[in-house]
Amino acid sequence: MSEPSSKGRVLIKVFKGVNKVVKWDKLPSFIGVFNLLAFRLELEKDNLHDVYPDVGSQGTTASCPMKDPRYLVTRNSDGLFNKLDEPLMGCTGMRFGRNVSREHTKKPTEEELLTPNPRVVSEQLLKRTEFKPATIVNLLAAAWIQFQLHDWVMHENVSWFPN
Amino acid sequence: MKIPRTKPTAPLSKLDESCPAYKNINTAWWDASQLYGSDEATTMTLRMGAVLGKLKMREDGHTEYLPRDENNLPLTGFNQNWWLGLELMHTLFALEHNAICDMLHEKHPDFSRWVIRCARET
Repeated sequence: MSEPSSKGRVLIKVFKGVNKVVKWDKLPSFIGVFNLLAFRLELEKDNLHDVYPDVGSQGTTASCPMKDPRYLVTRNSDGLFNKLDEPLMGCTGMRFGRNVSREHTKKPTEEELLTPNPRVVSEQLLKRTEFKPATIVNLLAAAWIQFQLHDWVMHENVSWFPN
Repeated sequence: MKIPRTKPTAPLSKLDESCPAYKNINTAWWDASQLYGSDEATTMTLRMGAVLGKLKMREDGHTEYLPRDENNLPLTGFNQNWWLGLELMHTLFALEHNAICDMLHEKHPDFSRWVIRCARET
């Protein structure tokens, strides 16, 4: 969650008005780019929620110094130093950020977790009695999306199944 | 079918106790960690002494495939939930990485360490 500057807030307001008449992709490219910037500022303000209690948790140049200067020009597989002033951001083992405020993500009780029961969902909602063709995507879309997701996130599990 | 529970991380604040946070075992960056691994040691293992900054592949006749571990699982950055579609994507991108290494080496034969870095960024 980061508050945009006063200029940023004006930009968001202006384009909210403009978009009621013209959508961003119908604007001339040069103006459309600023429309995208307004979206970005607004999304950063309202749709990115830090899951750490303080900013320092993302590391600082003092708490997490770069001992080998080659990481200025090469990638570290742990994800370190992609952001130089907050070196731990996005690293392996860091908490995954959220798109909703944390107050709304209370841990469910056992009962809530199983309501509706996954079996009911499987048998009533997902069950197919006849073939329903997918008309806009093929199986490659599923493979591609899963391939990309595996780049970004896998939550740590309580019991570890290798596969 | 077993569905493992997501493990909440150790709480750092009061809020964490009622609204837990969860650790990501991959890097959240768009850095192709599913191919190269989410730690330096894995990346080095995947190269396994292959030349020119390439990823190690298993040759079979005229074709190259992803190498396998002792359980016949693919050796790649992230190999959970495996199926044919992922085998396809991972093989394609590993071969593309190696093709870029070859191309860079052909054009700049003097820069060897530089090659893996650039192939990865590309």
